[in-house]
Amino acid sequence: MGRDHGRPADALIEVTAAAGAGPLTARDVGGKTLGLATLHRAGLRVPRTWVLPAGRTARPGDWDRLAAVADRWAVRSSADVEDGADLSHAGLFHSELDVAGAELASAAARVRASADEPGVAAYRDRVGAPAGPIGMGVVLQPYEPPAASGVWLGRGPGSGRLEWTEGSGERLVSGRVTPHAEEWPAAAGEPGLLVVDGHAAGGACLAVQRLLGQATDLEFAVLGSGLVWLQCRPVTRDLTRADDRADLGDPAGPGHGGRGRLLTGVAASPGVVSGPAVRLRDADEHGWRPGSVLVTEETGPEWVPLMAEATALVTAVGGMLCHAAIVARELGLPCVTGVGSQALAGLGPNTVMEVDGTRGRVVVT
Amino acid sequence: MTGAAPEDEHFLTLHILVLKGMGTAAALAGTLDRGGPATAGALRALAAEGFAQHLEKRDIWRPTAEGKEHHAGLLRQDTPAAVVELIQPWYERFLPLNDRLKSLCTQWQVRDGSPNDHTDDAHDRRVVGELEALHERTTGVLGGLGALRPRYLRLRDRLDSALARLTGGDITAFTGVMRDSYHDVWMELHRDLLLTTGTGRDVEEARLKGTRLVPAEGG
Repeated sequence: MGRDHGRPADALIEVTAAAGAGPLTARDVGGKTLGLATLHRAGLRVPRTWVLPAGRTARPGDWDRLAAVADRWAVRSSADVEDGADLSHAGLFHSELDVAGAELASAAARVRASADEPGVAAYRDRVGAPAGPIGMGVVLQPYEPPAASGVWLGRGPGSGRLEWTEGSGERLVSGRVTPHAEEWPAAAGEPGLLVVDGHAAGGACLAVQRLLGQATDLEFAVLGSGLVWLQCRPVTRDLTRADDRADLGDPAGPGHGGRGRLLTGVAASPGVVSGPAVRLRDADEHGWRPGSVLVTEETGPEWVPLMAEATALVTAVGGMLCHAAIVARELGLPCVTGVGSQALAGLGPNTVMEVDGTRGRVVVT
Repeated sequence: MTGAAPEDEHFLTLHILVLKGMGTAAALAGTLDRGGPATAGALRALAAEGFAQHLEKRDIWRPTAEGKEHHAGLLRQDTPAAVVELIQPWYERFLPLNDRLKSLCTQWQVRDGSPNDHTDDAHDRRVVGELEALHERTTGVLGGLGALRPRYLRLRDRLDSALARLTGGDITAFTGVMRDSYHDVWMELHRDLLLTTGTGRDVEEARLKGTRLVPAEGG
């Protein structure tokens, strides 16, 4: 199969070909592809990866040969402006997971078209990036649902922060779930670390940084066969000023005048509402008062009738994509998800909450 | 016994009541695809046994705590361990579809951080097109589940109907609330699978097969 791919005449280039992919430029294949090529060249494990460079057209036969390699595919954006050191463009472009082989061509077309979405131009305008067309390479990799996914934020050559979650990483990247977090260097054998095949994943991230010789942001997936690297890019921001999720549920920090306890979560449905809050563990628990802020661990269909009577919703778990967020948006209900169970522990019966679903903040008084 | 068992009115009515949390007799009858009088009779019988409660003022039915406990027992009888084992692989195929559906719902509702005002036909058509592709795969899963328990075929028909209303121009049929929208029915399907397989939502994602994880804080 390797013989059929990676020839210069092919529109689709196999980045992970044994013979090497030849010279690649960010302009043609985009930042994500270059990152994958860097990881591959360093001898690290990445999924088999093909790229459709910007401006190239693949023939039906090219897609057929690719579809013969695997049943399910990940089709990801790799723009020339993405993953560079200056601007991240994180989350702006489209990716598709679990795509059938027969759908590869249309999925690639959709990913490529996402460069022309109005939000992209608005972002580039806001951050002062030059106007003009974006070159969009498309990365194609066999897909397997991960058991866990992680993002490493390099702080320095010997340190970083690992955030990981069970399952798919798409939600992790966009802040849709409340991730587990680890600060590295961590003490070996510390409880709660993500361990893959007997090795701490955070230690593996540090090893990659040493190999590449600099602080690096990384993404990886844990598959049945072990850990694979999905992305690397130079660090783009000063992490010391980043909003730290470890603050969840801490007493009010600076900036809101000590009026109450500040909880932070995911801004799941916009709007600001203040009022009495009712914490329920079951949808049929007594004590619900229509017109209150509904506070729960998580929600399912049995909660919808209560949500329809609530002024706002706060949940311990979940993110942008959970059922609660979808229903809250539909009802026009301000909603903050993923504030953490600990943050909700010990809420009194006469609690008043100010729910800011636009910023993902809740003030408890 | 692993094939489809004859369905029991008492169980089915309590089952849908537990899935939905509460509802009017008419809404529950629509869900069950039964005549209204039959469902009303089944609800009154449940109430007589203390398993359901009728909130007169709002004309709404809900399960009691005893009703939920009774339902858990009936569900284990209806779907014994041997059948749950056959359902499990379908449930695992459902999980990535569930992620995809929730993502599509969000794309339908939000654009660039603002509510989708549904003025961009191209965007809406693309999202509905992706839902149609997802629906095809979901239909396959529900066909497999329906061969084991017929209630999944009813869920399939209700998803069919929501999709038909959506493509017929009813934009509330995608993520609308308490109108048997695609997302309304999907949530019930998700809850049915969680209850039937005995999976807690917290462990749902960790069940994905593969490398053993060491959970944070020993939890």
